[in-house]
Order: sequence, then C-alpha cells, then structure tokens
Amino acid sequence: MTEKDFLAAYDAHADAIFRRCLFKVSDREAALELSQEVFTRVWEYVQEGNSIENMKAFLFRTTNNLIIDHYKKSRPLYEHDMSEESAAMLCEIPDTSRTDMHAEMEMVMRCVRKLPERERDIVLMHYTEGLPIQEIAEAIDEKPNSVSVWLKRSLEALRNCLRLSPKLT
Amino acid sequence: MKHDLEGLLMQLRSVRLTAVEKRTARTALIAKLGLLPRQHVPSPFSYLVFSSHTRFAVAFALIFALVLSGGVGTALAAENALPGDTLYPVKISVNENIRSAIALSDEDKAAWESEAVERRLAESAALASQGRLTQETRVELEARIEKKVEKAREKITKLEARGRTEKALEVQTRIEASLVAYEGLLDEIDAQATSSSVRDEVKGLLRAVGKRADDERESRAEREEKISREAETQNARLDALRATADTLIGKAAVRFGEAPESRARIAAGGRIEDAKDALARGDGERAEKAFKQAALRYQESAREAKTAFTLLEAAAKTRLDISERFDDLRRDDSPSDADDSNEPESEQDNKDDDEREDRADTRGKEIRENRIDLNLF
Repeated sequence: MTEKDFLAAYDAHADAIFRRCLFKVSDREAALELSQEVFTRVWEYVQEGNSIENMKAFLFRTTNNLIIDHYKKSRPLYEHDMSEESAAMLCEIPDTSRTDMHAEMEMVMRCVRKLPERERDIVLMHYTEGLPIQEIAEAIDEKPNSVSVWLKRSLEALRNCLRLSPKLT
Repeated sequence: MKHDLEGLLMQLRSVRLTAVEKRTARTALIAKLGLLPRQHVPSPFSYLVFSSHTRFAVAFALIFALVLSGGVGTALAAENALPGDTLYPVKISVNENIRSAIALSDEDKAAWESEAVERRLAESAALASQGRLTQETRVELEARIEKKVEKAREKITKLEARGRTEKALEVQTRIEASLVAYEGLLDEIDAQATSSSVRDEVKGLLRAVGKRADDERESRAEREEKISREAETQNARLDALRATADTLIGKAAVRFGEAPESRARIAAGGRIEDAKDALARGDGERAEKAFKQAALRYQESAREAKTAFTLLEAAAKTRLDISERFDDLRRDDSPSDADDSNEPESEQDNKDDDEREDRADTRGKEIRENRIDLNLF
C-alpha cells in the first residue's frame, strides 16, 4: 500500500472512524485523538510489510481494539458513556447547540443507546456505516451468522423502543 | 413515522468531522507519519484552488511542531474555540498569527485576510446558534470582522495597483459571498432564537454584517465593470472569466450534491441555477459580440456559484437545525427545484432563511480531491 493509497483511505474513512469513536466515547476531543491513533496504528502495520485486504473492515477492527484498550486504561473518562445525556451529546458538534438536534434523531439515538453494547456496535456499523455482515463479523471477531441474528434482534428491539416513544408512532 | 428506522440510522452519518477538524487532523497525520502530501495536477486554475491548501498544510505543520511539545492537540482544539473560550486566544494569537506570517505574497495575504473574515463570521454564527452571543462577544466580533475586512481591502487595493485586478476581485468576491451567506444564516438564527437578549445581539450583528455586505457589493460592482471593459478586447481574459465561473459552478454543484437536505441547500441550489443561467446568457452575449456584457455575466455567474458554495459551507459549519432536513425532505427532493425559497441576486430579502444547518457533508470528497475549501474562489 502506497502513501497515496493510505491517504485515500484516510479521506474515505476518516469520518466513519471518527464517528465510531465518538459514538463510543461521547467526547469529541477524545474521539478525534482516538481516530488519529487508529490511522497511525494502521499505517505502522502497513509499514511493517503487512497487507490489508479490506481496509474499511480493518480500520473498524483496529478502532474496536483501541477503544477496548482505552476503556481499560481510562475508565473514569468515559464513565458518562451510558448516561442519559449521551445520546444527545453524541450528535453534538462543538459549534452547535444540541437543542437543534432533531427530535426523531434524538429518539433513535436514545433507543440505540439502550441496546447492549455489542448490538449497538453492530447496528451502527451496519446501518450507519454500511458495513456488510461479513465485514462486521471480521471487525468484531464473531461469526457472520451470529452477527446476522444479533442485527435482526436489535432492529426488533429498536422498533419496539421507538414504538413506545410518543413522537414516532 | 414518515422515516424508516434504517433511514434514520443512516442519517447519523451527518455526525462527522468538521472541515477544520478534518483538515487539521489530516495534516497532523501527514506530519506525524512522515507522509508527503500528494502533488496536485497543475491546472490553469491551480493557483485559485490549491495555493492555500499548501499554505494551510505548512501552517499546521508549524503549529503542530510548536504545540506538540506543549501538549498534544492544543492548537487543534483551539481551532474550534469561540470567543469566550479559554483557547480562543490561542486560536487568534498563535494559530492565526502563524497563518498570517507565512502568507508572503500580496495574493496570499489578501486570501488569508478574507479567510479570517469568514472565520470570524463562522464564530459569530456558532455563538449565536448556541445562544452564547453576548453583548461583549458581539462587540468583539464586530470589531474583529471590521478590522479583517479593512485589512483585506488594503491588500485588495494593493493587488489592483499591481494590475492583478482579477485576483483582487476574487478576494473581494469571497468576502462578499461570506458576508451574504452569513447574513442569511444569522437571520435564520435570529428567527429561531428563543432568548430575547440573544436575539438583540444577533440583530445587532446582522445589521453590522448587512452593512458590510452592502459596502462590498458597491466596490465589487466597480471592479467588475473595470474588468469587463478590459476583457472586452481580450479573448483570453474572457475565456478565463468563463472558465472561472465554470469551475466554481462545478465545485458548488459537487458540494450541493453531497449536502444533506436543508433550506440552505435549497437556497444554494437556486444560486447554482442562477450561476448556470448567467453563464449561458454570457455565452449568448458573446456570440452576439456583446463582449463586455458577456464578461459581466460570467462574473455574475462566478459570484453566484461562490455564494452558493459558501452558503453550503456556512450551513455545514453552523449546523443550525437538523429538523429542517426532515421537513425539506418531505417537501421536495429534487435538487434543482429551488423554486420558492431562494432568490437569485445577493439581495437576500432573506426569506433566504435557507441557511439551515445540517452539516453538509461534502468534506470527504472535497478533501479527497484535494480541493480544500479555503479560498477556493
């Protein structure tokens, strides 16, 4: 992989990786640093002479691993991860007030947040990032069949959750 | 529920890096990993499109070299700081001074000053949309905007004195486009603001920005006239004016295509149509040997396209209200049916409340193409 290819991959996936981090750590600065770290690690991996078949899946995999590391290292920083506000925080960007967040989106995020972590990851990777089941399976080291089942189950759970939400029925 | 669950989940893609974050992060990554920025294919307009990219890259490499020792990410974080934030002084005194210092030529200096105007406008819109605009910050921003506009004018005059009339006009158009775009955006924020004290401040700011926009319009018209007289007898210059308009329309269209639905997008769509229209009329006039008219049309076309682009960018930066996206989605989804909501000339009788925010995405592609939005008149 050439520098050019790597930068192209960066350009293509930087937003998705950043989003992935932001959804996990709910802190923009931390997410930014994390996503930079992801690309740094991947580049180092390439420099060591390794080849990467599917860049996107590999980036997601690296992201997941890094996030796990960070969870281990800095638990206190992300303790607010599951708090009530996280759903809204997630979608906040520094120069925007979150009151502008559309109610429907907030509602969806709230429901997504209620899913178990693994399911939540899968839903976001599949529907938000457009990763096929096979690649998600690679990224989280699980069997495609299991991913498929979890995905189905999560979607059902989300639908139920949204049905309960007053605004969305 | 009008939107399916999958659709809503997909909408989460609108959560992304801001243009500044992405640029900064990319440059930092390049510096950190020792990668070389790609060489651009030289094009006749490369100086219009790329020059500041390189400059920007150098600036950030410098900033990073400076700041890495003191704490990773300070300059990066400062880039998003707003007046009243702790890091704002870093943004103004460190980051921007470096940017300014490495702008050596008059062209670069003028371009930087016009970018600085836009940065201040973006900050004021961000503060206003967050309900954080106070009298103090408003006065500060107004003064900063005025100062930057003045500085840019000096540079523009210098350029003109050296016969670089097109470049002078380019910088000026950029300033005007920013003022017009943010004027509309502020108007929208004003309409949405719930706190009356914030509203008062936004209104104050709006008046100041509106007045500036009017001033720019006047001197721009004179400049356009002058260029048109000169281009009347020079085929090559006419070609260049046309090509510039064409390039800008292309850029605006790309960004338009990638922007999420919003009022700003609809307004920008209208302007893009106007730009195309002016281009076509210019061609018609040229065919009839009305060269000066044609030159004026081409410039009008370029201006509209530039304003459309700035509008999309301003909307993405400020990201006022995602809810509009949903309303707009229901109303229309064809890109060009910009029918009601926007008006052709920069005369925004702002119902041009278009500048609603969504974060117009665009960034990825734009950067992929190495067409950094700085100064991309």
